Amino acid sequence: MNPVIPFSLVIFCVTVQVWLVLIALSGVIPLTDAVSTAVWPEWQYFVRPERDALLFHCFVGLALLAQAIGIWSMRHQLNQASFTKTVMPFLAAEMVWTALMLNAAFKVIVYHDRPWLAQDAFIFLSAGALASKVFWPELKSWAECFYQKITTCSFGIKADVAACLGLVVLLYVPDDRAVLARMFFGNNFQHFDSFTAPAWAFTKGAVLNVDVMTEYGIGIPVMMSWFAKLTGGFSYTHLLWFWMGGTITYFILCFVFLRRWLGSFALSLMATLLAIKFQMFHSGVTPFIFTLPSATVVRYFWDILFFLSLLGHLRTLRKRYLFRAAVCCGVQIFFMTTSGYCLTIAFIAYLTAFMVLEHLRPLVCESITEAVRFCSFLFVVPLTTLGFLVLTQGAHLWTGEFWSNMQEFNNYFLSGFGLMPMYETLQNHETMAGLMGFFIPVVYMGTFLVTAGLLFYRQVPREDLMAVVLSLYGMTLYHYYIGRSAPTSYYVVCVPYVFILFFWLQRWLLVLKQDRRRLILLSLGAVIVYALLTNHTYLAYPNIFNVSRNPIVDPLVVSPIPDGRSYFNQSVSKLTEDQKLPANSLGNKDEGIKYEKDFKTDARLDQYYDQESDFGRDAALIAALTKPADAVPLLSSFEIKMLIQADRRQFFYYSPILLARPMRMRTFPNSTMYSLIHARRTLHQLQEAKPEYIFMEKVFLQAPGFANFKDASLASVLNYVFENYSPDAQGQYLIAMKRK
Amino acid sequence: MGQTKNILTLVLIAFALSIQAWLISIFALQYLPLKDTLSQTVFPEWRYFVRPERDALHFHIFVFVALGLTAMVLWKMRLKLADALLMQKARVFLVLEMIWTFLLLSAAFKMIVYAQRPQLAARVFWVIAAVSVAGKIFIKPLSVFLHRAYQYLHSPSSRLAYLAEISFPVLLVLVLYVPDARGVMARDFLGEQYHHWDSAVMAPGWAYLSGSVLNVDVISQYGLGLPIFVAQLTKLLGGFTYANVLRVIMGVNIIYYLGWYLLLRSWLKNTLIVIAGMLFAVKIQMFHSGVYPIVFTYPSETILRYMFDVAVFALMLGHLRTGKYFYLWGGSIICGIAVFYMTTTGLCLALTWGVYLGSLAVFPGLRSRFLPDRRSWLALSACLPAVAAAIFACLWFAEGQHMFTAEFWRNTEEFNNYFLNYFGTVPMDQNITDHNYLFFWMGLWMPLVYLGTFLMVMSLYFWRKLSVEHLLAAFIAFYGMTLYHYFVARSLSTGFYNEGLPYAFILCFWLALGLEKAAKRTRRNITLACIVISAYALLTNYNYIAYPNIFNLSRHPLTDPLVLSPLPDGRSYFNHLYSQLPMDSRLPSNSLGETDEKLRSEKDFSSDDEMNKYYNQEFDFSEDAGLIDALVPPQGKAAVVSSFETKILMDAKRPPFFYYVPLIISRPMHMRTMVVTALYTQDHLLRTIAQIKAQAPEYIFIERIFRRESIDLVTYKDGSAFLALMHYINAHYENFREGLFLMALKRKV
Repeated sequence: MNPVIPFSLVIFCVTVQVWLVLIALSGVIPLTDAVSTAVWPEWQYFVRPERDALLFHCFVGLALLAQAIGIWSMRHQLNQASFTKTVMPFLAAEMVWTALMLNAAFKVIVYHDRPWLAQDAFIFLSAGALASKVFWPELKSWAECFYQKITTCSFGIKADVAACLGLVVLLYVPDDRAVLARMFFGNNFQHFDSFTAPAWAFTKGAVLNVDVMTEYGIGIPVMMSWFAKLTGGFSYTHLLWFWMGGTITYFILCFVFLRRWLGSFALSLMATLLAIKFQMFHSGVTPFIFTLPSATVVRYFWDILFFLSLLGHLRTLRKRYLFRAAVCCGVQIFFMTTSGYCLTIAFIAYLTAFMVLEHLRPLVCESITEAVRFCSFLFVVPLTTLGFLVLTQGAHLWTGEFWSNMQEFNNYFLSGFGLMPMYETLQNHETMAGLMGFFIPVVYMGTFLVTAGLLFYRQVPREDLMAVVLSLYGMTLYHYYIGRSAPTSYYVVCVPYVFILFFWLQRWLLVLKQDRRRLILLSLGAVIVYALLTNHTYLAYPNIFNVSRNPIVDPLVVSPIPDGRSYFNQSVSKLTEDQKLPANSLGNKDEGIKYEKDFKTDARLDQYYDQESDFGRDAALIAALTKPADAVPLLSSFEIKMLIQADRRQFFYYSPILLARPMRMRTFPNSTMYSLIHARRTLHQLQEAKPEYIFMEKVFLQAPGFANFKDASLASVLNYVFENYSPDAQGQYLIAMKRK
Repeated sequence: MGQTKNILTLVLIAFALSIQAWLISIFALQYLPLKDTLSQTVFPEWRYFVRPERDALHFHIFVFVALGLTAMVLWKMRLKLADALLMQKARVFLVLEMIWTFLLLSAAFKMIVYAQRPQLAARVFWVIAAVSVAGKIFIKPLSVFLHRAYQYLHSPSSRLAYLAEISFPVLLVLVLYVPDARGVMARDFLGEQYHHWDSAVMAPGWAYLSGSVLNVDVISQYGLGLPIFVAQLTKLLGGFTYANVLRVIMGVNIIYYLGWYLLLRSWLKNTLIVIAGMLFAVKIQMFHSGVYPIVFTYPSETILRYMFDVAVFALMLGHLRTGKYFYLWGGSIICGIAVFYMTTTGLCLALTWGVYLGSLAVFPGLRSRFLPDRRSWLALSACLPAVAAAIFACLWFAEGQHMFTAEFWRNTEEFNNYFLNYFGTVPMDQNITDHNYLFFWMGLWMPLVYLGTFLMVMSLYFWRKLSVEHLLAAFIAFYGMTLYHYFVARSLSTGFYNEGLPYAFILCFWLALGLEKAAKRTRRNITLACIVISAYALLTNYNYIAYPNIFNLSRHPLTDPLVLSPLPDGRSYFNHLYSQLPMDSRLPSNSLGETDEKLRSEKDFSSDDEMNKYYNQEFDFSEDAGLIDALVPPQGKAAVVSSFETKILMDAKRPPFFYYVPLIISRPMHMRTMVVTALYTQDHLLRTIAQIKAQAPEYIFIERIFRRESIDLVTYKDGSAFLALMHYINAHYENFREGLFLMALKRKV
């Protein structure tokens, strides 16, 4: 390569850096706006002071001058061939600084309403870029030393343990109360309660999908309940530990699996970090993934154990691994039905591959009998599921009612409820997000076909069957996105995709020379870590590395929702006065709506949360009027929280029955009864059971005669209540309606 | 390794076929209505959540077809993997299948993105599907044909380049030429109310032809020469009309592109590369989303802005090759004319020329080559005076004595000063805040290419790695950087493409340079691929599909929904500026005393002829022109405060009175609303009122809806300048006589 080219690039990089610093400095000097006072109001929008042209001149002038001076002063050295080798490391360093500074500048613009963090990063990077030039000889020798060490050291068990501990520290959230507070104020526990409700019902002796529905399968709420028992009691904190602990464990197991499968410490760690970045920190789960438990990896937790078992079988051909794999499938079906089916399909494919591929069949069976025995592991799957169902459902397992309830939400889903077409992101001009949704299944399908083909023709080792199974599993799991194609929700089920990518990366690296391979790995690792650490959802993640001491309320890291509003109370902050009632359940107008900016610290937020989420008086009311074994009909936001405090079970099958909103709002909450069938079933429940008391928010007393009551199903329930019940005792927010 | 390659070929064939099957199943099944079992049971407040779809079914089809086909192919071919001839045929088949797959995916993508009007993409989709099926059935003869074609293209006796040389210029003309100029102007009338036309060309052009002095009697925002040049050329076509002005612009456009084609052809000496470059250039400059629906909607965004650059660069190339002084002086004179023509772009060109002249003096290699003796230095030093002389001559021709007045220079600087004080500027980060990230990066990428090219070419020449005539690339890049100021100041979406031609030509240069040392076969393959890609990008661009040339798929391209695009929000383009005005901004009746505002949309016209007829009717202001003609003496200036003021003055054959013309941002004459003036600042208003005071025209013609009684009713927050002007006029003038839309007000005694 002509030495002029890398040298010109160095000068260009330095020019860009200087230019970026100039832009930052120019932002401090206010612009003079000579025209605004003279321009008519109707044309004011046309006046937009800027310095773009001046900065453009600076850039061009700097680049030309620097190039001219540089080329002239180095004209003799540029004729030497060895100059290229000398300048290349410096060029690499300058390109890195330039890229980092450009990225920081980009973030300052994109997050223009809260640029402080990106600005601080920019200043830091500018200082770093300057220091790197000044201390280049020292930096170069240090970098060479580091590179030597990192590429020659071997990563044994200590490194693996350290990596696992590192993952724990990366994902662990110390201040669970603040996080719960954010869920309470930002999401009203809406998504969290879709799991908490059935888990609580199970804890109190209800039969799931007979007494109380569970949307997401039976196993998860059951295991939540068991976990809560083990950790000292059923509470939101302990349930958060369940999700968080499950996630951390899952990613540790991912690392272990990849370490065993791919063999390389670097690849395994990078893949795990990338999986974490994609799965936990995409825009669809802001601000905090555990607000949406169904979007966490716990959804398909058992798959990693399944793949570990399969890997064991692939390597050793020992039947016990097959048994374990089958058990994992069975447990997964029990845990979450849809993911369980996906895993079972993968298992079937694995067994089929051994039967179909001529060179693999003799390894596991030499006769038809052995083949049948080999395939009979498949029966372990339904047997395992059955075992757990018998344990939790008892005799109800054999009733038609149970199976019809099990299918209810699946049927809604299959009929189009909650679905979103895949092409919608393209129509909404979110082209990159939309195309990614089509790219991932192409990777799966391509991997499956290519690897299966190569395996069929014995061109690749038996172990590559893992890639085939992973890609098939990925495709089945991808139905999650196919059905409900919200932007970036493909990342919820992206773990197999990341595994596949690194499988191919490993294959590609194998054809490269050793030193180039290490350089690529190092660079890739740096890029992945950078992508994770600069992701804004990660920046707001309240782990011990968070740059803020108050990550839940500090505007430095907290993001507003896309329309600029605060995350707290977002569901109600757009309501106007004409949409509100004269008074709330407390009989007054103050709705107590607070936003992040109203709290100076997370500790203050915690205090406020404790106060607002304590429904002690209403819990006491419920406890006083009902027996411990009673199922309590409660028409209120935060139904589950109240019932936990009252230590009573839910009455309604569709629990939680209302979409929670802040208790002091002067509005009626909406119900979760989507359809006529839900409404009829709820009414039928009330008519059959005739509970002595029904507890409801006092604000519902304003419902009769209210012209704009939009929720037809809730209206029918309230009509029934008012016809057959009359007010009795009162709590803080609740009123007890006694049967007439 | 060989076997792996063969296996991959077979797998990819199966994969491509499965994608085709998947796409065909999606668009075939859409004709079967979806069952919606839930809408009856789900409550109305939750109905938005019910969205039946077949995505899962389509996914299953894709997966099963892929698995099935792969299994079948692998099984059938398991004993033939080593058959080299068969695998070669398989590779040809694979290439064809990938082409069909790509085309089908493109058509499908367009059907999704243009979901409001998918008909054209749908038709193309099914045609491609049918052709791909035929391609599979007749694969043998097709392979033979393709093989022969490939051989021919690469044979020494191939006349491809020669044929391309002859046919491309003709094709270019036919692609760019619009037969129905009147129809295009009709659409602009209905879509934009000539907003961009009147201010840029028509008003100053008419003023000039009717005897006004530009920037003395009447403002010219876009430079002096442009309206004069265009106005003079229209005389050759029969007179100054909107359609003739469009014909002039179109003609200049075609000549300009042909000029660059010839220049590039001469410079790079590779017809095919130049063809690819020209297709790309036309596509990015004329058919980007920022010039919807047609580039001629915005005369200032066409090459009309900087049309002299092709001549200057041709002269520069001539000088680089021969060193003759004639080229230097010629280039200098044309630069001077360009400065007169349009100040900003002219200065860009002059600066580039100055840098070129400076380079000749500064660089030792160039100095020794081009300035070997004193005579050559004298010739060089004559260039700057030549520029100045050309400017002086043009100004004298246009302005006469007025060019020596302070008033003229102050007026000439007026809009530049506003621009320099941020009036109309848009920051470069606007694309980011609008989430148009690709536009933003493209906006940054282009100047990087310019700068990089300039630095690289100069450096390579300095090290004697490049021939002297390739220095042209450096100066085209420099010129591109100067032109780029327009986008730097006013960074609207794809505005970087308006001045993006140097970028296209630079890419062409690098491609030619990069392929110089490549093997002939490789060079030809890459070049042909570039042509195919550029042509594809052009032909599938929606602005091009709607472009009303002779190749348009519709007979009525200006009204046919098959090719027309609505606005991004789905509204009709016609009258889009006014179709969403709130009803409370309406007055009880319009200038005709009616309530019907006649805001038509494209669907109200079944053909372009019908639209033209409507246009002829609505754009006829002869009655009002007659009113003006009756009241204003033949050489007198007519003070008109009305939409379509320029057309009315043209019909009345009177020069404009007001300095700031057009005074009003035109809106449809039948509307029941007031207007917004083009008096942006308080100075403009004061100046206008001062003009009325000083010159005291006997009559002022206003739209009847502006009568005193209506003005008194209005609290018009968007029209402060307009109301202030009307209050002044009403105070000093009284109703005199009515025309159709206009009313004549007579000065009070």
